[in-house]
Formats: sequence, structure tokens, C-alpha cells
Amino acid sequence: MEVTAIPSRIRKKFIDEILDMYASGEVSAGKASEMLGIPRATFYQLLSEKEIPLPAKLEKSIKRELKRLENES
Amino acid sequence: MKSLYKTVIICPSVYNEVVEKGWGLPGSMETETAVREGWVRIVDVVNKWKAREIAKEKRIHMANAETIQLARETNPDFVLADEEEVRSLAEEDDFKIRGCLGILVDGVRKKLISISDAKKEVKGLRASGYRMSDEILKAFYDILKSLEKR
Repeated sequence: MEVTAIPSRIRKKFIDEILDMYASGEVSAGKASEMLGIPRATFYQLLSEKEIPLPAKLEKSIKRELKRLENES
Repeated sequence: MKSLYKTVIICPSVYNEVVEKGWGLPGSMETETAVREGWVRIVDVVNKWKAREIAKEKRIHMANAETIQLARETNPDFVLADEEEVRSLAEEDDFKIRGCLGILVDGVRKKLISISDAKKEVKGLRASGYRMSDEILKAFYDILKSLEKR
């Protein structure tokens, strides 16, 4: 049986879909990298290349952490 | 981190993801060295069934579920996490959380790194895909500024 590679436009669409899911907070970086079958560090490189911002929920969580740190000082 | 936190514990799934699967990528060699030096210890969760239950119930990644379960079993001073799903569960359990920005603030506070080095690190983080908003960056710089005055 001949195995053909996944066409690049479909692969691109799949990657974009996962990146959208990450950006909207639907999946974490861990889950997204698992779905793409790549290490988490590679996923972060992908986020950098595509200039994907942090998900809103994570942003809020970091803001809370910084607020607590500010109050500690 | 070595000077900031006496011991850092990670579960095997995190080690596997960072070092074994991610060998050659940022963080892999540093983690491997830290494990060899002994200040990062790999500790398995006792109740794996519970970790699996967390992963299933909260629909989160297994390594993240194990991190939460490990925290519940070891009661650490801080949970070090930059993943929202770990952070939100850790917050629910009232653990203190440190992400990479918090670690940098702690480093500056303890005079282990300079303010300019902390700023450089953040620029590096942004470049490597941790694309925080300008609002967060400003809040971080404000904290550094308040530390500068001391």
C-alpha cells in the first residue's frame, strides 16, 4: 500500500487551527504541542514565528501574579 | 534558579517532555545539568490514578495534571508554572505561583540578577514565543522600577 504524505496546505491548516485553539485558550501549550506531535519548546518557537500572543486567561493569571508581587514589595 | 530555590521538583513526565523529547531545544540541557547537580529532583507522583482523574476531569495535559498532583502531595513553597491550566488549578489550591516573570522579580529582589539583566531576559522570552502583552510588560517594569529605588 502506498502511503502518501499529507499535502502541505492541509498540514498548514491543521497547524493554524491548533494555534487558534491555543490563542483562544481552548487548549494549553502542552496539549497543543501534543496534538501537533512536537516538543513544547518547538511549539513556543512556532508561536514566536507566527507572533501568537499569550491567551487571555494566561495574561490574566500573570497579571494577578504581578499584582501579588507588587503588594509584597 | 539554583540560588533562589533550594530544590525544584519535577515529575517524570515533565522531565521526559523537556529533556528526552525536547533534547537540543531551549531548556533541555539546563534541566539535564540541574538534575545531574541534584538541585532539580525528579519525583514521581504517588497517586497516579488521581493525576489521571485530574487530567480527565479538567481535560488537561497529563504532565500538567501530574504537576498539580505532585504539588498536592509535596506541598511546595511555590508552584513554578507558565501554563494557564496548571496556574489556575494551583490558585484554586492556594499555592503560591511563580511564572518566569515572578522568578525574575525574585531574582532581582534577592540581588541575584541585575534589573538590566531581568529586562534582557524578558526580551529573550518574548523573542522565543512567550509573547506577553505590553500591559504585562509595563506592570513588570513598574515592579523593577520600585525595586530600583531601594
